[in-house]
Amino acid sequence: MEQIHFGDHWIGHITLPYLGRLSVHLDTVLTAWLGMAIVIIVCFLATRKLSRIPNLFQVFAEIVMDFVENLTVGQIGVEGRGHVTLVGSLFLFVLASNLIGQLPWKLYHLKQGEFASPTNDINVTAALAIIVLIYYIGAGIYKKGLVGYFKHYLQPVWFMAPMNLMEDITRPFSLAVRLFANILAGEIIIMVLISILPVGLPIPVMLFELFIAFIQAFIFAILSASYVGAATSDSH
Amino acid sequence: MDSHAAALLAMGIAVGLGVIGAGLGMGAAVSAAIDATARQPEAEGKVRTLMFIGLAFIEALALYALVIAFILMGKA
Repeated sequence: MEQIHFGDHWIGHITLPYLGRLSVHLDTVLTAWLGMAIVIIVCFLATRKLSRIPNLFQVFAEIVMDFVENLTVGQIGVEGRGHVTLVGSLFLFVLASNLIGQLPWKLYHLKQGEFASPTNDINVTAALAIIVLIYYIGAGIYKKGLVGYFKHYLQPVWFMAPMNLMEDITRPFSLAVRLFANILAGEIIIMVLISILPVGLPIPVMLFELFIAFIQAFIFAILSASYVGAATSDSH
Repeated sequence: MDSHAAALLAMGIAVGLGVIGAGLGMGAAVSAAIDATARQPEAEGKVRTLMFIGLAFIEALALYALVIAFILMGKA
């Protein structure tokens, strides 16, 4: 059985002013751009020539929009409709990123690493999780004011403050690790099965990975929404 | 046993034991969700959403074991 490699990346270097020389995972950057491009192009095309009697593309976009809106409103409440933008963006980007990994990238050889889902890189998922962290703290402060927001750390009693602070660390950590580990574990399982018997054996697992891609995007979006909802709700 | 072998063994034990608890928890959660749906089919959507949120938290525990395994693999 051949050696199984994973977690390798095609590392490039860029030099930025003030930051100096940085190493970049080029394969992740390229596939993440591809994911963003897919989301932007699909959304752009779906919202051209909007009409009362929608064409097929517009119906599809409306179904997605409805789904994301129901998800957000279910977690935050009707006053949380403004947060649909963040939750929907996260959902679509994570979904596109997860599905990109299912394309036959193995046909294209890189010097180092290989193209796969951008979400199999902890840097991408950690960045998304930090966006969620900053967003829900910001939304809480915007809704309740600086004092009003940080007062909820002292609830239900003041000595629970360390636990409540800890939550702000474990939430983005588990968001990032959950998405990253799910996608990476799926790719490892497929690699192991390919090394055992490449013909036919990995296909059921690949189909299951399509399902996992949807479930993980859904869970990422719904947990982000519920964190925003917890930060902006009045009662604790 | 050298440290390489110990790390490989620890990887297997970490994932294997870590997944037992998550498996039990997921079984309990899904069975309760199916019970609730069978009892009250009109609440299926809500129950499903709650089940997925719960499963996400349970799954995170198994994934922590997986992360430990990855760290050990780096040491092996």
